[in-house]
Amino acid sequence: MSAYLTLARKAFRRTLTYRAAFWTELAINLLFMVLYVYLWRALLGDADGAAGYDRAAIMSYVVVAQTVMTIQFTVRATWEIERKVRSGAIVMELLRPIDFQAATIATACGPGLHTFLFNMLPKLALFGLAGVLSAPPSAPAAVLFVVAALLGFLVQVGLEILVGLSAFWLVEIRGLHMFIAWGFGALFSGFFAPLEIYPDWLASIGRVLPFQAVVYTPSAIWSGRLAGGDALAAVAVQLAWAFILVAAGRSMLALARRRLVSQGG
Amino acid sequence: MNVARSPYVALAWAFIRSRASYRASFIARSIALACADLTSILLIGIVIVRFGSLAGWGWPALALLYALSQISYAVARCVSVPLDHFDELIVSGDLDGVLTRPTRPLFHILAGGVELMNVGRIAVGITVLVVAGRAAGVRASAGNVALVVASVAGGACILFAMTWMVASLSFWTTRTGKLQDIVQSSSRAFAEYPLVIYPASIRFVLTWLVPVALVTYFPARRLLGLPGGDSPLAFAALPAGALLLGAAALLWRRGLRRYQSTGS
Repeated sequence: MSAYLTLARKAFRRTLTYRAAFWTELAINLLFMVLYVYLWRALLGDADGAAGYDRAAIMSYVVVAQTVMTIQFTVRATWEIERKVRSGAIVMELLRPIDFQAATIATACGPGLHTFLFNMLPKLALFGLAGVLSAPPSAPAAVLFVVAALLGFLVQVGLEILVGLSAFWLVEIRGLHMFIAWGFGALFSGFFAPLEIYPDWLASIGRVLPFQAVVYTPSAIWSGRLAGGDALAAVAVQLAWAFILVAAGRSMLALARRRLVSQGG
Repeated sequence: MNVARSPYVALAWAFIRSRASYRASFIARSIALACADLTSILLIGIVIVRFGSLAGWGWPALALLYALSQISYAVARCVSVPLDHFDELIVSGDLDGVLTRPTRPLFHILAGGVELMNVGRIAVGITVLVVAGRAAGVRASAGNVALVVASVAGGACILFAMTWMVASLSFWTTRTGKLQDIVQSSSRAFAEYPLVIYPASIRFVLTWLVPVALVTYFPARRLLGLPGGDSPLAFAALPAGALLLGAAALLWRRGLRRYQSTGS
């Protein structure tokens, strides 16, 4: 266990040294959050709300969604695996007496924690002070939000590991990554609009995909749209996805091991 | 000078051929890029189905904004990609090698990364433009076509000039790769929505400083015959692009003159 903690701690420290990357990320996030706040104000116009969200809830959703999705930019598990497969360093990784998948998740926790502390919290505070973001409706909702955000993080890392491992079979995974992360993922994660806003048929596609677990579920819980039994059910779905993705990652890794031929040298 | 025989074309052609040798990868990435770009217009479509309009702008009108932004961006990206990481040439000292070549340094750098993958994105933009233009009842008159071509050309110049300017800053600050990300991703996103949704300060920036609204909002208003469509700013994209290119060229030249190698 301590090996994984050390990996997470080292990854956290490493993130601290990439200051330019940190400030860039924050600047881009803030610009987009400002853009989306104005966009949603204009969309709502004089309306009291939409699709079961009142005005305050929808603005909270937009701010929280934009905040939660930041991990998609700062956790780079896909590229770390891809780089190791390409260079062959993956052989050394697999020889180590620790579990590769667990090590990758632990390593992702480093930048994840950094993003949470220095990027997400300040943004939430800033938009809270600006009066755009409202607090979660209740203490249990706040707790459930934290759980949902953590599970969303796990689902995100699980997805990234799968895409990264596909490098064992595909020489070039940038296209696949782009399609999953920015095409399909962006369409169904709910980062732009809550799934309730979508036409029913499209929302029902989104609800059977894992991407909603990353952004939509935590944001809808914070804004109060998902509450009580619905919220618990949504968290259970996240848990199921986390389990499925981790299991899929393990089997994929087992297959990859069989494929792996090292040139030595 | 015979352009077809110029060293730029020869170098660019060599690069394109080397890229095309990984054909499956090239095709897959072109399609993935184009699909990923479609996401933003699909998301706009989804919220418009629910809300009807964005500050009075309905579906075809918003798609027109998207198309103008998309085509300009994709055209600029065909050539501007090598400038994204120009700072690394300075830090590594590889710029010295470029300066000793008998071509213009800028052309030499650009020739090393012509990204034809963006042709798929241009195709997406043109398709949306045609579909949206028809749906919005924009006549394909010579004047309208000229306005679209001029706006897109101006937009490509504006976006290229901004990338070029940020790259030139590397002569003074050495690290600019991150700044490129900020300028490129946000200018493109802000250009996809009608200017009226922003407060005055942002409207000012998007019209006069990072003038992407000249590429999308003002021409689209004229094409759609909306109130205020007769604003002369509808024709401002090309002059603004020329102006920014000139400014970028000046900055670049000053930087080159100032450049001292980092040594080995």
